[in-house]
Amino acid sequence: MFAFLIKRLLWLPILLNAVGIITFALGLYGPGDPVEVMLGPRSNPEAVARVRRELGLDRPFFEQYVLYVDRALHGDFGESLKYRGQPVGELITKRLWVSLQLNLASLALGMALGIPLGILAAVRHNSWMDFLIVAVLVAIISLPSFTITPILSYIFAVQLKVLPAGGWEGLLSKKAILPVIILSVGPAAVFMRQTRASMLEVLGQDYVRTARAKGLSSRVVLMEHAFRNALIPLSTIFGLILAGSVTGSFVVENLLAIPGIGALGVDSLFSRDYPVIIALTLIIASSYVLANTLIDLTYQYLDPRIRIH
Amino acid sequence: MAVTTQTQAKVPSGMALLEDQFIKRPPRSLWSDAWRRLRNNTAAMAGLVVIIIFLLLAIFAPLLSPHNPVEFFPNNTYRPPFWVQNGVNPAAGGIASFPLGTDSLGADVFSRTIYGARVSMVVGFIPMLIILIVGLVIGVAAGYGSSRLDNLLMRFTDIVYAFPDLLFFIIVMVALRDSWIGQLLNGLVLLFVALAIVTWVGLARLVRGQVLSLKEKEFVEAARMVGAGNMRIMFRHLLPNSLGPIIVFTAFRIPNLIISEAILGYLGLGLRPSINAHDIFITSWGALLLEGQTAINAQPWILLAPAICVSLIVLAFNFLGDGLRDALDPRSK
Repeated sequence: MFAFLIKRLLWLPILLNAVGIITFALGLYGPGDPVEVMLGPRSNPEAVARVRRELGLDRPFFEQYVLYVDRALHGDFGESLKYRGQPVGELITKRLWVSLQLNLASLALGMALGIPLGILAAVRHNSWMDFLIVAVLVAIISLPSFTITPILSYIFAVQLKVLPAGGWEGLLSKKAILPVIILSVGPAAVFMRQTRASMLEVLGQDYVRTARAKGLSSRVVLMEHAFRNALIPLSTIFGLILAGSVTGSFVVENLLAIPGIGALGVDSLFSRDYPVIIALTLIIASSYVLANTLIDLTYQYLDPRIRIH
Repeated sequence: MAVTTQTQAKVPSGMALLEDQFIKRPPRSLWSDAWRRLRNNTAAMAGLVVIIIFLLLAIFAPLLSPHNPVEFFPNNTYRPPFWVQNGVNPAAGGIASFPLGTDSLGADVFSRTIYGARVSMVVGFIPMLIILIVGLVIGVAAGYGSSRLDNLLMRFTDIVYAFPDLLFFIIVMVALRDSWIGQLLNGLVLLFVALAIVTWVGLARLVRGQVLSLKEKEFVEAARMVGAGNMRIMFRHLLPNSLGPIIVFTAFRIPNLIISEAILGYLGLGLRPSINAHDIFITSWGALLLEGQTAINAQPWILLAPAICVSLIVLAFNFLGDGLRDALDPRSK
């Protein structure tokens, strides 16, 4: 297991470098000059050249890249081209906090809904309740958040006028209700499906029958014997959803005007604010890889039968 | 004695029965079995019907839409859908010739939505074709080739996999939109490439896993023993046997591509809406969503119509995918 961890951690910088170089190259060689975007269309060539020199954009590609990596390792991701003087790190942490709150709240709500529903569906297997839960959640999960967001915001904000249409004033304001509900639907359905499947598998095991036979109450059998074992696959899903939620909220943030990293990403792409884009890509990519590693590790911790190499 | 003859007489008739019912029966292949199972799945068949309807809408859009999508009626801007009547000013109410009303320029929303189906359909199918080709080649090569090649290809897929797909689509579209490739077919070609370039990874991993497990099976060993070459084993034995999971993957991937296109369109990065009435691809659902977002109070149907269409088509593909999975792998149920 230790060797596995080392191997994964050695792989991480190689991977991040590859991601970084590709994004860097697209930024430098793609059409559209960030400096021209920054200074406006009527800037004089001398000013453009001066700013390019100041920012180090006139140096060879690999020199720029190595310089960037060196600074990044010291926690300096450069300065935003659009908001002059604002360090990228600061810009991102502020937005990241909003996205994180949003995603964690939706994940918590999704689990709170999905896991009990999954247990219920498994215990009442093949009854109308099972079918109802599965059918409704499968239908809901198939609806992309991209299209239900405008539909729901039309119903609740424009027609019924009970919820605000967008914006952000912290997690505890009314404005957070719509995005949290929308983003929790996906996790709820996934948790329901997985809980149901693994509960069904576990409930058929001999040790569950033994536990029942020796007269334990059905609550103890369900929670102590069955559910704890059904938890293993759930941990994977938890990690995957957490890693995926960063891009998942990308769309909802943009649709509902929430100042998270999704909105920042799109905004900086249009102004060709490459320092921000590269930093964002790197953050998201490393969160993916770290989440995957973490999943593999918890997997092994929870189920010693699994050996990873 | 009589008993013996009776039993003896019965045996051949029993054999005949067996022969009639089972041996002479035309053989049922895995595929016909799967098709039978799929036909019994109401949700999957409903999904298939919805997909076919949208395909027909896309193909016959010029015949089915009441107006040309780029024909503007200047006196009819922001007309509500036909069921909304305006008591004070009948001229601002809905009329039947614009079933879902009109947009800011007076173009028919219903017709534009029908034309939008075209983009979603090609974006669902053409990048999928690229994904299938690239994913199959890399997956089979990694699974069947030497372990060094496997390692190399898998590390490469790891890198591509680490890219957040949506962010990558957006980066590619922004960076290359104004170059020559971004101009082809109003930007559709670049859209195809951008969507395909990171999504083949999942398929390559799936195929590799299939090939790795299948190549150790006895039938492959038998084929090799009778002298089948590598190509023959790959294309006649390994690929057909991993077709089931590949089909299921395809059914679940297509709706993702459709959503991605809609998101890019919504960000103004998809197809460039055209005002040339003779173009095949005039507008997309994503572009309509972007248009509708700004007019949600004045004319919500510019937003609602494409949102409902995207939801329907995605739902349909997911139901079909679920049905296919159950049909092709009965054990998964």
